Amino acid sequence: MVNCSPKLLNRTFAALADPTRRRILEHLSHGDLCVTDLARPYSMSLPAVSKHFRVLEKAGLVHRRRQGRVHSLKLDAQPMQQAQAWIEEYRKFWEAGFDRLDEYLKQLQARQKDEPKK
Amino acid sequence: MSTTATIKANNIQLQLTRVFDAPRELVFQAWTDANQFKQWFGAAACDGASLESVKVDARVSGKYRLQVRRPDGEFYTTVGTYREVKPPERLVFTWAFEKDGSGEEFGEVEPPEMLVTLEFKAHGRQTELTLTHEKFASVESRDRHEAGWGRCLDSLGKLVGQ
Repeated sequence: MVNCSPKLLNRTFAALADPTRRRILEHLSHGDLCVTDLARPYSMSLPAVSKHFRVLEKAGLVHRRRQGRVHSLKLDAQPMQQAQAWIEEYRKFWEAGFDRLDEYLKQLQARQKDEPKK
Repeated sequence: MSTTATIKANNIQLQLTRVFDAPRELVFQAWTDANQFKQWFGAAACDGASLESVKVDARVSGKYRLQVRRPDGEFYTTVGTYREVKPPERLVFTWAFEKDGSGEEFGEVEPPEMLVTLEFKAHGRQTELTLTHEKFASVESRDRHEAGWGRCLDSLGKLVGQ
């Protein structure tokens, strides 16, 4: 079964639970961006947006690169991939279970029909 | 059948819904009667593996244990405690793996301990079953059933498909 460190997943969830942060991630999915360019579309102060950047960094969802005074952020899809892998594993597991339950219920009811009435 | 996945602030939730051609009582019993459960679940849990043992005590605070031996000889054993048993409509139990899994009795469990909720809805002589499998960030949030903000994983799939 897929193994996911609870602490890391916790940070991933908290990071993804905020709509502004999800927009930031979507923005970065098109390519790396320097911090000022990334912050520009948001109607909040740079310190406020920077708080979101830090949450995303702590969750391992983005990585910061420093080139002189320019800081840019790069998306790391791995934490989300882990979450998705967990979901995929259990989805397949339970779907197989449901298939078997379906077959079993059909057989059970067919057997009951065949039994002579008491 | 529908499947959705949601990431909230404190947990990740997988939900599957399917309609079965059988009345609720029958479907519910298939989950709570040890002999019946063994017959269908065992086959699903094993992928070329074999079901070594099954213990099912489906009442509140009762436990279950499913021991599967893989083709390579390794065991994986799922255990849990029933939180709610309301025939024929609702069944809730925890879900975790034993560290060792090879013993005959219940053994030490390794975190995380997840939660599985089954809801059985009658539709004439059919049953709509919704299974929710949740992985929580902490034991506290699992026990509080914390409702954070929800989001379908499908749209995140775009970000993941890098």
